[in-house]
Amino acid sequence: MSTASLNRTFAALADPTRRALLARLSRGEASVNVLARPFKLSLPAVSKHLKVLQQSGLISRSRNAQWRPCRLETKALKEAQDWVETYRMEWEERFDRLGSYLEKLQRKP
Amino acid sequence: MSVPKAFTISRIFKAPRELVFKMHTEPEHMAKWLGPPGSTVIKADMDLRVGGSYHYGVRTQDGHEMWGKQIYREILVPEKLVFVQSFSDRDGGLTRHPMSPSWPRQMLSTVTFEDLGGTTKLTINWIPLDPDDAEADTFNNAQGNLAMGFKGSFDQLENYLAAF
Repeated sequence: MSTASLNRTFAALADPTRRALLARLSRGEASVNVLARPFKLSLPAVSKHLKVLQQSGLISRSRNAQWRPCRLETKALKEAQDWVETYRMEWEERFDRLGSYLEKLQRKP
Repeated sequence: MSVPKAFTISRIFKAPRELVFKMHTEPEHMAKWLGPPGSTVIKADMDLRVGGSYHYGVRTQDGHEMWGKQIYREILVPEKLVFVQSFSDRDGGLTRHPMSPSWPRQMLSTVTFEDLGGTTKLTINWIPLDPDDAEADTFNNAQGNLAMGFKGSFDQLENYLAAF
């Protein structure tokens, strides 16, 4: 997964409305009208959020049906999670080194 | 208190937080744990103040040079440190090419040091920043919103989505 696409994914996920949209889509695909219902936002505003999600690869929109239902793409989420875990391992190792170093510094001479 | 960001990691260290804070802000100490094992420090230029930066370079065991820059946004001794972490070059510029594919070009890093009575809970949060990304600019301007935004790590989000 490229750096730019990861950045888009994180940007997409940082908004509470977009997270709620993803949560709804995790229960099944839905049209924009259905998705917009629970929100006190205009349809264009919801569409804008959906576009961000689509551009980050977190959702896809079917071209077949007239109403173009949105679908959650779990692959993008999983790829981002895998990247995060690589980063975590690197930092756990750094923290191991920090722990040893702190111990050494504080040892009574 | 944790600031929810895209990635969070914590650990408790058996040391007072004033000392743990020094581990993040004094180059002689930073050199002992931040760089990859076996690497040597080429440069460590520290200007610890809001708007100041830390420009550093290390040479790894296989001869590869890595340069970085931290630009400080908030410094609250001994409890909090906020900076933008960037890739850099020998001259201290902000480079656009990542040193390794697993690193975003820029990260907003928040480091907190919590006093647990003799021990310190160190928490580091990151969110990627991309200066070319319009969404990232929205981030930079809306740091307050970030605190209400992404809650916790990615696997927590997945669980949240699955359970909804």
